[in-house]
Amino acid sequence: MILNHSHTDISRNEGCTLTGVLSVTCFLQDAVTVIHGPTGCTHHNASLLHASLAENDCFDIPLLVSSNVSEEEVIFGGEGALMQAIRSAESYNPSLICVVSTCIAETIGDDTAAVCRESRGVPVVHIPGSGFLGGGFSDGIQNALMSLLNLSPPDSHCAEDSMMIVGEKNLEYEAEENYAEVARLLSLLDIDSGLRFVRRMPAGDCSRISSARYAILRDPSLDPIGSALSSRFGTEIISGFPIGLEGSLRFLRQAGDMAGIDALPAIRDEEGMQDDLVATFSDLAGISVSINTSMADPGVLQVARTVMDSLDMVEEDPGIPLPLPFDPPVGTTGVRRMLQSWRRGISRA
Amino acid sequence: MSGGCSRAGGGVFHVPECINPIWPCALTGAVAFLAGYTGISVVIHGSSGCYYYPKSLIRTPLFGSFILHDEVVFGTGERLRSVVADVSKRGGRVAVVNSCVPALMGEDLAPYLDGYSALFVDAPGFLGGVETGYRIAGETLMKEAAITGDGVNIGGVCLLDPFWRGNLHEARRMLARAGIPVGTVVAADHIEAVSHASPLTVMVNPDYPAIIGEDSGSLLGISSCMDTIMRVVERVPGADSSLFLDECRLAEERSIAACEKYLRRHDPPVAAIAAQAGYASFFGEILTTYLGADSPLILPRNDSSGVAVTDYATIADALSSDEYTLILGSSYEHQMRPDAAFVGITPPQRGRVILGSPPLAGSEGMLNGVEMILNACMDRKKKG
Repeated sequence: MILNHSHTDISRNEGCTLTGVLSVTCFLQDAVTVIHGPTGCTHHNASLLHASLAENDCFDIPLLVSSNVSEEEVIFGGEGALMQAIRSAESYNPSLICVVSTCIAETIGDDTAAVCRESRGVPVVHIPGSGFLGGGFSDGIQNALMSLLNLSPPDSHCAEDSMMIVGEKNLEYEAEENYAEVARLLSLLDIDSGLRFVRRMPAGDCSRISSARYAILRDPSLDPIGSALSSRFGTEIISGFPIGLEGSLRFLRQAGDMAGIDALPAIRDEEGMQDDLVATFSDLAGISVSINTSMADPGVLQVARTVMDSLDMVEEDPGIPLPLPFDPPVGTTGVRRMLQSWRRGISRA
Repeated sequence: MSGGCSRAGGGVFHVPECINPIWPCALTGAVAFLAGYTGISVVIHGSSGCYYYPKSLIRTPLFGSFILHDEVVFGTGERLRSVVADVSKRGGRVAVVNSCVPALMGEDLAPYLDGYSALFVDAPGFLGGVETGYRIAGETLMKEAAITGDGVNIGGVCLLDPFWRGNLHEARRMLARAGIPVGTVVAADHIEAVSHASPLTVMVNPDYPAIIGEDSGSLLGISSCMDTIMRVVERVPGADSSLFLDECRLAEERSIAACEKYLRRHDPPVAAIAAQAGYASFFGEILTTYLGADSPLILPRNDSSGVAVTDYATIADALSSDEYTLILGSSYEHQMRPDAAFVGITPPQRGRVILGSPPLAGSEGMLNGVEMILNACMDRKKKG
């Protein structure tokens, strides 16, 4: 049970900054993440990753090295423990070491950044991840992405025409399906999806970030990352995955314009697919339904109501309560899954 | 075996860094202890990160103060008071469990709890593992306890233990069968029951300390179960162990018969156990006594009988030998050795549905333990 749980108080209850950072760094292949704090912080996250990855049929948990801050370090300082942990991480011969600070490291005043700046045979990146001292889960994602951008040289001469995907929600149950939908829409324009920054990406590919001409952000909350990409590397940005039916068409138009491709044939194809979808669910027309708006994401509500209008469903109280997805449905395929879930809910009512 | 995340007292054994630690912190243990009681609401005083993890493991209502940067700079007391005021409206008492950062700040939080029936438990995660936090919370609560009842208390119940409900049911059943009244259950009772505790305590999981009453032994394993009940019967007027002892003998006979039948067609398993020390010893005894197996490799999660091994990499290394045909542990160990027979006895048990209440304590616990091992070994054989 959470107190003061509302959308206006996200920073208080949205989750730990450290977890946000790890949701990025743990998806860098051949990198090791060092967490500077008590083992409890590392355990909490190792356990979360173990559970989340198992849901996606991935049974190897990423390598997390804890500096194991205990009472002794709390009193006398933990920089020595951090150096030891970094040495331990080096012994795995990674391409990159990400060092994440925690609330405790910040509170006892350890200079984590200075320890990371020391010269070593492997690049070491410091990422602020100090729980409530540094914001929340989404701040952690941004901190990680922003820190990793620094590994890319600004003067890349090798421009890539594919679309880089930025900031996928790696702990999301449908992460791969959402990516597949974006890739499907891009394929209608004969555009390849390129670097996935960061999802199961080799650490060395961080150097390729600056060569991407175009990038698609997972959602608009990553706009600061988009701005950094634009200002540093001149990358053109689409500021979110396609959401819902209209959003998918808009996405095609935007991607086409950006890449200098006539998007009209692709849009026609997609409209045809959407018409078929609406026809498939025509049995839902006229059904009285209700939506619990109290905790719903505004983006989800908007898509849900648009789809209800398309299908001539009637929103009234009392009506059959409709299950809503946690995140806005991505693309036409996401809407189909939402409709399937509605149909199941209605049939059980 | 010389690895792990544990640090023994006095700095004798020191492992600075740790790879993927897989045992929760003291805060989680303290919260698990207090959340076992009704009539008291538990508030975690810390960040949202320190709230969500215990909440994901302990399926009871928990509250959080969700402190932020400003409160760390200017003091967390007012925020805590406001949360305690809200929670108090639900009725009953409030327990506040302090996490790492507020503990480090050294703030005197007592004045902010004035006027509320609040219990303050200082159990920051950096003090140690689950068992440490459980003990700290228990010692804090038991300052209010009074021994006024007859019979025995049931100790060693912890909401993090996958067998806690089964153990509790089985302990109550066994004690009732011997005519022994139950005082209080540590830690799964109404909060007021601590003021009607009994002078003796029997344990269902010896890794969680008794805290109140004279430790009168464990109900884990048939022989220790029989010894414990006979010891208690001598001190409780009107109690009679005869029915219970008959049941234990019968359970042992059934276990031996089932194991002997298995061994007519199979070799004894070669086992490794990753669990709290008490459960590891319980299963180790089943394997050596009834299945004629060699002593299993034991990787204890806690340091009650040596050095805890809670480092994923160390455990994976220890289990890498393909000689092990049976693994008892958590879903971590299961994923390390998917080819071996597996018995889930240690949290977490991800990817499995656990709804019922099987015990490990008592005669039924013994039967359940043998059953789990034999079924796992036979399933592995069937898979080839």
